[in-house]
Amino acid sequence: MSNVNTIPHVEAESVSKSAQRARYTAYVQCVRKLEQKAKADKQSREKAARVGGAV
Amino acid sequence: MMDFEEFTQQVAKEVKRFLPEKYDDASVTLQDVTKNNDQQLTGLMIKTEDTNIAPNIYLEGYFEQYQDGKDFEDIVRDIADGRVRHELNQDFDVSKITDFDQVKDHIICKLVNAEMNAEYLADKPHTQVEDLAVMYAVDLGGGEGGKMTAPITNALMEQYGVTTQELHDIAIHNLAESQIEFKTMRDVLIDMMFPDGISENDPRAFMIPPEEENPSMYVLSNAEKLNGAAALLDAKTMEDISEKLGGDFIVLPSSIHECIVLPVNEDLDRHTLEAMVQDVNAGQVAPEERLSDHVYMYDSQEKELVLADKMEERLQQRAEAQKEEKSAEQGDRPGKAERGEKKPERERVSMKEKLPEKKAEVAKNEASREHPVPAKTKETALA
Repeated sequence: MSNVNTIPHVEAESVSKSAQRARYTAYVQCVRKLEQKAKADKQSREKAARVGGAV
Repeated sequence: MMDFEEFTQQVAKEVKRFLPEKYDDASVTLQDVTKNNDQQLTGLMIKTEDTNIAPNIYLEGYFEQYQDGKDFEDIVRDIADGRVRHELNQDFDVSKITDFDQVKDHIICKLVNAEMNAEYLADKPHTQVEDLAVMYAVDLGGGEGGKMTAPITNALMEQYGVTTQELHDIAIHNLAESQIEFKTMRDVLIDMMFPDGISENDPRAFMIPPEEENPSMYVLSNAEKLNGAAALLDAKTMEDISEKLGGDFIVLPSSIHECIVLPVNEDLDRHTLEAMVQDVNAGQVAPEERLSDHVYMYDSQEKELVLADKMEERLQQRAEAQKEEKSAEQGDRPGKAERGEKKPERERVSMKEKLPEKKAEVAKNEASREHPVPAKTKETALA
Protein backbone atom coordinates (compact mmCIF):
# COMPACT_ATOMS: atom_id res chain seq x y z
CA MET A 1 0.00 0.00 0.00
CA SER A 2 1.18 3.50 -0.46
CA ASN A 3 0.15 7.03 0.24
CA VAL A 4 -1.56 9.53 -1.93
CA ASN A 5 0.12 12.68 -0.61
CA THR A 6 -2.33 13.01 2.27
CA ILE A 7 -0.87 10.20 4.39
CA PRO A 8 2.55 8.76 5.10
CA HIS A 9 3.92 5.93 3.06
CA VAL A 10 2.60 2.50 4.06
CA GLU A 11 4.38 -0.71 3.13
CA ALA A 12 2.98 -4.21 2.87
CA GLU A 13 5.54 -6.69 4.16
CA SER A 14 5.57 -10.44 4.02
CA VAL A 15 8.05 -13.21 4.35
CA SER A 16 8.53 -16.07 1.93
CA LYS A 17 8.65 -19.44 3.69
CA SER A 18 10.49 -21.08 0.82
CA ALA A 19 13.18 -18.36 0.86
CA GLN A 20 13.47 -18.79 4.61
CA ARG A 21 13.88 -22.53 4.30
CA ALA A 22 16.49 -22.09 1.57
CA ARG A 23 18.54 -19.79 3.83
CA TYR A 24 18.29 -22.10 6.81
CA THR A 25 19.21 -25.26 4.95
CA ALA A 26 22.11 -23.48 3.23
CA TYR A 27 23.49 -22.50 6.65
CA VAL A 28 22.94 -25.98 8.07
CA GLN A 29 24.84 -27.54 5.19
CA CYS A 30 27.67 -25.00 5.32
CA VAL A 31 28.16 -25.28 9.07
CA ARG A 32 28.03 -29.08 8.82
CA LYS A 33 30.75 -29.01 6.15
CA LEU A 34 32.93 -26.70 8.24
CA GLU A 35 32.54 -28.91 11.30
CA GLN A 36 33.36 -32.03 9.30
CA LYS A 37 36.40 -30.36 7.77
CA ALA A 38 37.58 -29.19 11.19
CA LYS A 39 37.12 -32.72 12.54
CA ALA A 40 39.04 -34.26 9.64
CA ASP A 41 41.86 -31.70 10.01
CA LYS A 42 42.09 -32.44 13.72
CA GLN A 43 42.23 -36.18 13.10
CA SER A 44 44.97 -35.83 10.53
CA ARG A 45 46.95 -33.55 12.87
CA GLU A 46 46.62 -36.10 15.65
CA LYS A 47 47.65 -38.89 13.32
CA ALA A 48 50.69 -36.92 12.17
CA ALA A 49 51.64 -36.25 15.79
CA ARG A 50 51.35 -39.94 16.61
CA VAL A 51 53.48 -40.91 13.63
CA GLY A 52 56.00 -38.20 14.50
CA GLY A 53 56.09 -39.43 18.09
CA ALA A 54 56.81 -43.00 16.98
CA VAL A 55 59.72 -41.82 14.88
CA MET B 1 10.05 -5.63 -27.55
CA MET B 2 9.67 -2.66 -25.19
CA ASP B 3 12.31 -1.68 -22.64
CA PHE B 4 11.27 -1.24 -18.99
CA GLU B 5 10.58 2.49 -19.32
CA GLU B 6 8.38 1.98 -22.38
CA PHE B 7 6.68 -0.96 -20.69
CA THR B 8 5.72 1.06 -17.59
CA GLN B 9 4.43 3.98 -19.69
CA GLN B 10 2.38 1.62 -21.84
CA VAL B 11 0.91 -0.15 -18.79
CA ALA B 12 -0.11 3.22 -17.31
CA LYS B 13 -1.72 4.18 -20.59
CA GLU B 14 -3.60 0.93 -21.16
CA VAL B 15 -4.62 -0.21 -17.69
CA LYS B 16 -7.94 1.67 -17.49
CA ARG B 17 -9.25 -0.35 -20.44
CA PHE B 18 -9.22 -3.42 -18.19
CA LEU B 19 -10.72 -1.79 -15.10
CA PRO B 20 -14.41 -1.58 -14.18
CA GLU B 21 -16.39 1.62 -14.83
CA LYS B 22 -15.85 3.05 -11.35
CA TYR B 23 -12.21 3.65 -12.27
CA ASP B 24 -13.02 5.82 -15.29
CA ASP B 25 -12.07 8.99 -13.42
CA ALA B 26 -9.24 7.43 -11.44
CA SER B 27 -5.80 9.00 -11.61
CA VAL B 28 -3.01 6.74 -12.84
CA THR B 29 0.55 7.60 -11.82
CA LEU B 30 3.96 5.99 -11.86
CA GLN B 31 6.37 6.56 -9.02
CA ASP B 32 9.83 5.39 -8.05
CA VAL B 33 9.94 3.81 -4.62
CA THR B 34 13.06 3.06 -2.60
CA LYS B 35 12.72 -0.16 -0.62
CA ASN B 36 15.07 -1.88 1.82
CA ASN B 37 18.73 -2.00 0.79
CA ASP B 38 18.06 0.88 -1.59
CA GLN B 39 16.22 -1.37 -4.03
CA GLN B 40 14.51 0.91 -6.55
CA LEU B 41 11.09 -0.19 -7.70
CA THR B 42 8.55 1.42 -10.01
CA GLY B 43 5.05 1.54 -8.59
CA LEU B 44 1.81 2.05 -10.49
CA MET B 45 -0.85 3.83 -8.48
CA ILE B 46 -4.48 3.91 -9.53
CA LYS B 47 -6.44 6.14 -7.18
CA THR B 48 -10.16 6.83 -7.30
CA GLU B 49 -11.48 10.13 -5.98
CA ASP B 50 -13.46 8.59 -3.13
CA THR B 51 -10.50 7.24 -1.17
CA ASN B 52 -7.32 8.62 0.36
CA ILE B 53 -5.22 5.48 -0.06
CA ALA B 54 -4.32 3.26 -2.95
CA PRO B 55 -1.97 0.31 -3.39
CA ASN B 56 1.30 0.66 -5.24
CA ILE B 57 1.60 -2.09 -7.81
CA TYR B 58 5.27 -2.80 -8.47
CA LEU B 59 5.93 -3.43 -12.13
CA GLU B 60 9.33 -5.15 -12.12
CA GLY B 61 7.86 -8.64 -11.76
CA TYR B 62 5.34 -8.00 -14.54
CA PHE B 63 8.16 -6.80 -16.81
CA GLU B 64 10.00 -10.08 -16.21
CA GLN B 65 6.87 -11.94 -17.33
CA TYR B 66 6.79 -9.75 -20.44
CA GLN B 67 10.44 -10.55 -21.16
CA ASP B 68 9.64 -14.22 -20.71
CA GLY B 69 7.12 -13.92 -23.53
CA LYS B 70 3.81 -13.40 -21.76
CA ASP B 71 1.28 -11.45 -23.81
CA PHE B 72 1.26 -7.73 -22.92
CA GLU B 73 -2.54 -7.51 -22.78
CA ASP B 74 -2.71 -10.48 -20.40
CA ILE B 75 -0.19 -8.76 -18.15
CA VAL B 76 -2.17 -5.51 -18.08
CA ARG B 77 -5.34 -7.51 -17.35
CA ASP B 78 -3.57 -9.19 -14.39
CA ILE B 79 -2.47 -5.79 -13.08
CA ALA B 80 -6.02 -4.44 -13.35
CA ASP B 81 -7.44 -7.54 -11.62
CA GLY B 82 -4.88 -7.17 -8.85
CA ARG B 83 -5.83 -3.53 -8.35
CA VAL B 84 -9.54 -4.39 -8.05
CA ARG B 85 -8.78 -7.16 -5.55
CA HIS B 86 -6.91 -4.68 -3.33
CA GLU B 87 -9.61 -2.04 -3.33
CA LEU B 88 -10.32 -0.58 0.09
CA ASN B 89 -13.97 0.21 0.69
CA GLN B 90 -13.26 2.74 3.39
CA ASP B 91 -10.92 5.65 3.81
CA PHE B 92 -7.78 4.77 5.69
CA ASP B 93 -7.79 6.30 9.17
CA VAL B 94 -4.68 8.48 8.91
CA SER B 95 -4.60 9.12 12.66
CA LYS B 96 -3.43 5.51 13.10
CA ILE B 97 -0.10 6.81 11.83
CA THR B 98 -0.08 10.49 12.70
CA ASP B 99 -1.58 10.59 16.21
CA PHE B 100 1.27 9.85 18.60
CA ASP B 101 -1.02 8.68 21.41
CA GLN B 102 -2.50 6.04 19.13
CA VAL B 103 0.87 5.17 17.63
CA LYS B 104 3.28 4.83 20.55
CA ASP B 105 2.35 1.27 21.54
CA HIS B 106 2.77 0.18 17.92
CA ILE B 107 6.21 1.61 17.19
CA ILE B 108 8.54 -1.17 16.16
CA CYS B 109 12.20 -1.24 15.24
CA LYS B 110 13.77 -2.84 12.21
CA LEU B 111 17.42 -3.72 11.84
CA VAL B 112 18.90 -3.04 8.41
CA ASN B 113 22.32 -2.54 6.85
CA ALA B 114 23.41 1.08 7.27
CA GLU B 115 25.54 1.36 4.15
CA MET B 116 23.21 -0.51 1.83
CA ASN B 117 20.34 1.74 2.98
CA ALA B 118 22.04 5.11 2.75
CA GLU B 119 19.37 6.52 0.47
CA TYR B 120 16.42 4.80 2.17
CA LEU B 121 17.51 6.09 5.57
CA ALA B 122 18.25 9.63 4.39
CA ASP B 123 14.83 10.96 5.42
CA LYS B 124 14.32 8.63 8.38
CA PRO B 125 15.52 8.83 11.99
CA HIS B 126 17.79 5.91 12.76
CA THR B 127 20.38 4.68 15.24
CA GLN B 128 23.67 3.13 14.27
CA VAL B 129 24.68 -0.18 15.87
CA GLU B 130 28.06 -1.18 14.47
CA ASP B 131 27.55 -1.23 10.69
CA LEU B 132 23.81 -1.78 11.06
CA ALA B 133 21.02 0.76 11.49
CA VAL B 134 17.93 0.62 13.65
CA MET B 135 14.99 2.29 11.95
CA TYR B 136 11.46 2.75 13.24
CA ALA B 137 8.00 2.06 11.86
CA VAL B 138 4.38 1.99 12.93
CA ASP B 139 2.97 -1.52 12.96
CA LEU B 140 -0.47 -1.32 11.36
CA GLY B 141 -1.19 -5.01 11.82
CA GLY B 142 -2.01 -7.54 9.19
CA GLY B 143 -3.02 -11.06 8.58
CA GLU B 144 -1.34 -14.38 8.11
CA GLY B 145 1.98 -14.13 6.35
CA GLY B 146 2.30 -10.36 6.29
CA LYS B 147 1.63 -7.01 7.82
CA MET B 148 1.44 -3.34 6.97
CA THR B 149 3.91 -0.89 8.41
CA ALA B 150 4.50 2.84 8.00
CA PRO B 151 8.18 3.77 8.21
CA ILE B 152 8.71 6.77 10.49
CA THR B 153 10.25 9.63 8.57
CA ASN B 154 11.88 12.75 9.97
CA ALA B 155 8.73 14.69 9.10
CA LEU B 156 6.53 12.22 10.97
CA MET B 157 8.85 12.23 13.98
CA GLU B 158 8.66 16.02 14.07
CA GLN B 159 4.89 15.79 13.95
CA TYR B 160 5.02 13.42 16.96
CA GLY B 161 7.18 15.95 18.78
CA VAL B 162 9.72 13.37 19.93
CA THR B 163 13.45 12.90 19.43
CA THR B 164 15.24 9.95 17.85
CA GLN B 165 16.34 8.91 21.33
CA GLU B 166 12.76 8.88 22.61
CA LEU B 167 11.59 7.01 19.53
CA HIS B 168 14.35 4.47 20.04
CA ASP B 169 13.51 3.97 23.71
CA ILE B 170 9.83 3.42 22.89
CA ALA B 171 10.65 0.94 20.12
CA ILE B 172 13.07 -0.98 22.36
CA HIS B 173 10.46 -1.06 25.13
CA ASN B 174 7.86 -2.41 22.68
CA LEU B 175 10.40 -4.95 21.42
CA ALA B 176 10.91 -6.25 24.94
CA GLU B 177 7.15 -6.72 25.21
CA SER B 178 6.94 -8.53 21.89
CA GLN B 179 7.23 -12.25 21.23
CA ILE B 180 10.89 -13.01 20.58
CA GLU B 181 11.79 -16.57 19.67
CA PHE B 182 15.10 -18.33 20.19
CA LYS B 183 14.97 -21.92 19.03
CA THR B 184 17.37 -24.56 17.82
CA MET B 185 17.75 -24.74 14.06
CA ARG B 186 16.47 -28.31 14.26
CA ASP B 187 13.23 -27.22 15.93
CA VAL B 188 12.73 -24.33 13.49
CA LEU B 189 13.19 -26.59 10.46
CA ILE B 190 10.90 -29.26 11.89
CA ASP B 191 8.19 -26.63 12.58
CA MET B 192 8.60 -25.32 9.06
CA MET B 193 8.88 -28.55 7.09
CA PHE B 194 6.99 -31.05 9.21
CA PRO B 195 4.23 -29.18 11.02
CA ASP B 196 2.39 -32.49 11.54
CA GLY B 197 5.44 -34.31 12.88
CA ILE B 198 8.59 -35.70 11.30
CA SER B 199 8.54 -39.05 9.54
CA GLU B 200 11.81 -40.97 9.33
CA ASN B 201 10.93 -42.20 5.86
CA ASP B 202 10.41 -38.72 4.48
CA PRO B 203 13.21 -38.04 1.96
CA ARG B 204 13.47 -34.46 3.25
CA ALA B 205 14.41 -35.68 6.73
CA PHE B 206 18.12 -35.56 5.85
CA MET B 207 17.87 -31.76 5.82
CA ILE B 208 17.14 -31.71 9.53
CA PRO B 209 20.21 -31.47 11.79
CA PRO B 210 20.55 -34.39 14.22
CA GLU B 211 19.30 -34.03 17.76
CA GLU B 212 22.24 -32.94 19.91
CA GLU B 213 22.82 -32.54 23.60
CA ASN B 214 24.51 -29.21 22.90
CA PRO B 215 22.94 -27.86 19.71
CA SER B 216 25.37 -26.05 17.43
CA MET B 217 22.87 -23.74 15.66
CA TYR B 218 20.03 -21.57 16.87
CA VAL B 219 17.66 -19.14 15.18
CA LEU B 220 16.79 -15.81 16.77
CA SER B 221 13.71 -14.04 15.39
CA ASN B 222 10.19 -13.05 16.38
CA ALA B 223 7.01 -15.11 16.29
CA GLU B 224 6.08 -13.72 12.87
CA LYS B 225 9.59 -14.28 11.45
CA LEU B 226 9.24 -10.81 9.93
CA ASN B 227 11.98 -8.21 10.58
CA GLY B 228 13.08 -10.53 13.38
CA ALA B 229 16.78 -9.62 13.27
CA ALA B 230 15.80 -6.68 15.48
CA ALA B 231 15.57 -9.21 18.33
CA LEU B 232 19.35 -8.66 18.64
CA LEU B 233 18.50 -5.29 20.19
CA ASP B 234 16.70 -6.79 23.16
CA ALA B 235 19.21 -6.74 26.00
CA LYS B 236 17.39 -9.33 28.12
CA THR B 237 17.18 -11.81 25.25
CA MET B 238 20.90 -11.43 24.55
CA GLU B 239 21.78 -11.94 28.21
CA ASP B 240 19.55 -15.02 28.38
CA ILE B 241 21.22 -16.49 25.30
CA SER B 242 24.65 -15.74 26.74
CA GLU B 243 23.70 -17.53 29.94
CA LYS B 244 22.37 -20.51 28.00
CA LEU B 245 25.43 -20.78 25.77
CA GLY B 246 27.97 -20.03 28.48
CA GLY B 247 29.26 -16.55 27.61
CA ASP B 248 30.13 -14.99 24.27
CA PHE B 249 28.38 -16.24 21.15
CA ILE B 250 28.55 -15.84 17.38
CA VAL B 251 25.82 -14.11 15.36
CA LEU B 252 25.42 -14.79 11.64
CA PRO B 253 23.22 -12.13 9.99
CA SER B 254 21.20 -14.50 7.83
CA SER B 255 18.64 -11.83 6.82
CA ILE B 256 16.65 -8.87 8.12
CA HIS B 257 14.09 -11.43 9.30
CA GLU B 258 16.30 -13.52 11.59
CA CYS B 259 19.84 -14.23 12.75
CA ILE B 260 21.63 -17.49 13.31
CA VAL B 261 23.38 -17.94 16.63
CA LEU B 262 26.31 -20.30 17.14
CA PRO B 263 28.08 -21.08 20.40
CA VAL B 264 31.77 -20.13 20.29
CA ASN B 265 33.64 -22.94 18.60
CA GLU B 266 37.39 -22.85 18.11
CA ASP B 267 37.00 -24.82 14.88
CA LEU B 268 35.00 -22.02 13.24
CA ASP B 269 37.22 -19.04 12.55
CA ARG B 270 35.87 -15.62 11.62
CA HIS B 271 37.20 -15.57 8.06
CA THR B 272 35.61 -18.92 7.21
CA LEU B 273 32.30 -17.88 8.74
CA GLU B 274 32.36 -14.54 6.94
CA ALA B 275 33.01 -16.29 3.62
CA MET B 276 30.06 -18.56 4.38
CA VAL B 277 27.73 -15.62 5.15
CA GLN B 278 28.77 -13.92 1.92
CA ASP B 279 28.17 -17.10 -0.08
CA VAL B 280 24.71 -17.65 1.38
CA ASN B 281 23.81 -13.99 0.94
CA ALA B 282 24.85 -14.07 -2.71
CA GLY B 283 23.13 -17.34 -3.49
CA GLN B 284 20.11 -17.65 -1.23
CA VAL B 285 19.06 -14.25 0.11
CA ALA B 286 17.01 -11.76 -1.90
CA PRO B 287 18.85 -8.41 -2.19
CA GLU B 288 16.15 -6.57 -0.25
CA GLU B 289 16.37 -9.08 2.61
CA ARG B 290 20.14 -9.06 3.11
CA LEU B 291 21.32 -7.78 6.46
CA SER B 292 25.11 -7.90 6.35
CA ASP B 293 28.15 -9.69 4.96
CA HIS B 294 29.91 -9.54 8.32
CA VAL B 295 29.95 -11.81 11.34
CA TYR B 296 29.13 -10.44 14.79
CA MET B 297 29.73 -11.57 18.33
CA TYR B 298 28.02 -10.92 21.61
CA ASP B 299 30.53 -9.72 24.16
CA SER B 300 29.16 -11.13 27.40
CA GLN B 301 31.53 -9.00 29.47
CA GLU B 302 30.44 -5.70 27.94
CA LYS B 303 26.92 -7.00 27.20
CA GLU B 304 26.93 -5.76 23.63
CA LEU B 305 26.94 -6.89 20.04
CA VAL B 306 30.17 -6.18 18.19
CA LEU B 307 31.69 -6.99 14.83
CA ALA B 308 33.65 -10.23 15.12
CA ASP B 309 36.95 -8.63 14.09
CA LYS B 310 36.58 -6.06 16.86
CA MET B 311 35.80 -8.85 19.30
CA GLU B 312 38.97 -10.68 18.28
CA GLU B 313 41.01 -7.58 19.14
CA ARG B 314 39.24 -7.24 22.47
CA LEU B 315 39.88 -10.86 23.38
CA GLN B 316 43.51 -10.51 22.45
CA GLN B 317 43.90 -7.38 24.56
CA ARG B 318 42.13 -8.98 27.49
CA ALA B 319 44.36 -12.05 27.23
CA GLU B 320 47.48 -9.87 27.15
CA ALA B 321 46.33 -7.81 30.11
CA GLN B 322 45.54 -10.97 32.05
CA LYS B 323 48.93 -12.45 31.20
CA GLU B 324 50.74 -9.35 32.35
CA GLU B 325 48.69 -9.15 35.51
CA LYS B 326 49.59 -12.74 36.26
CA SER B 327 53.25 -12.08 35.57
CA ALA B 328 53.16 -9.07 37.88
CA GLU B 329 51.56 -11.12 40.62
CA GLN B 330 54.30 -13.68 40.21
CA GLY B 331 56.81 -10.83 40.37
CA ASP B 332 55.51 -9.97 43.87
CA ARG B 333 56.17 -13.49 45.11
CA PRO B 334 59.68 -14.61 46.12
CA GLY B 335 61.42 -14.54 42.77
CA LYS B 336 64.43 -16.19 41.27
CA ALA B 337 66.76 -13.61 42.76
CA GLU B 338 65.42 -14.19 46.25
CA ARG B 339 65.88 -17.90 45.72
CA GLY B 340 69.51 -17.20 44.92
CA GLU B 341 69.04 -17.18 41.17
CA LYS B 342 70.22 -14.29 39.04
CA LYS B 343 67.46 -12.14 37.59
CA PRO B 344 68.01 -8.90 35.73
CA GLU B 345 66.81 -5.99 37.89
CA ARG B 346 65.63 -3.97 34.88
CA GLU B 347 63.17 -6.67 33.77
CA ARG B 348 61.63 -7.12 37.21
CA VAL B 349 61.05 -3.40 37.68
CA SER B 350 59.71 -2.77 34.20
CA MET B 351 57.10 -5.52 34.57
CA LYS B 352 55.62 -3.80 37.60
CA GLU B 353 55.78 -0.42 35.94
CA LYS B 354 54.16 -1.64 32.77
CA LEU B 355 51.05 -3.17 34.35
CA PRO B 356 49.12 0.02 35.23
CA GLU B 357 50.18 1.48 31.91
CA LYS B 358 48.88 -1.56 30.04
CA LYS B 359 45.62 -1.56 32.01
CA ALA B 360 45.10 2.11 31.19
CA GLU B 361 45.81 1.42 27.54
CA VAL B 362 43.20 -1.37 27.41
CA ALA B 363 40.64 0.80 29.20
CA LYS B 364 41.34 3.65 26.80
CA ASN B 365 40.92 1.39 23.76
CA GLU B 366 37.66 0.02 25.08
CA ALA B 367 36.35 3.51 25.82
CA SER B 368 37.35 4.98 22.47
CA ARG B 369 35.56 2.29 20.49
CA GLU B 370 32.28 3.00 18.80
CA HIS B 371 29.89 1.61 21.42
CA PRO B 372 27.10 -0.44 19.93
CA VAL B 373 24.69 0.15 22.78
CA PRO B 374 22.20 2.20 20.83
CA ALA B 375 21.64 4.87 23.47
CA LYS B 376 25.25 5.92 23.22
CA THR B 377 25.47 6.02 19.46
CA LYS B 378 22.37 7.82 18.36
CA GLU B 379 22.56 9.08 14.85
CA THR B 380 19.74 10.72 13.13
CA ALA B 381 19.21 11.48 9.52
CA LEU B 382 17.88 14.90 10.48
CA ALA B 383 20.09 17.61 9.12
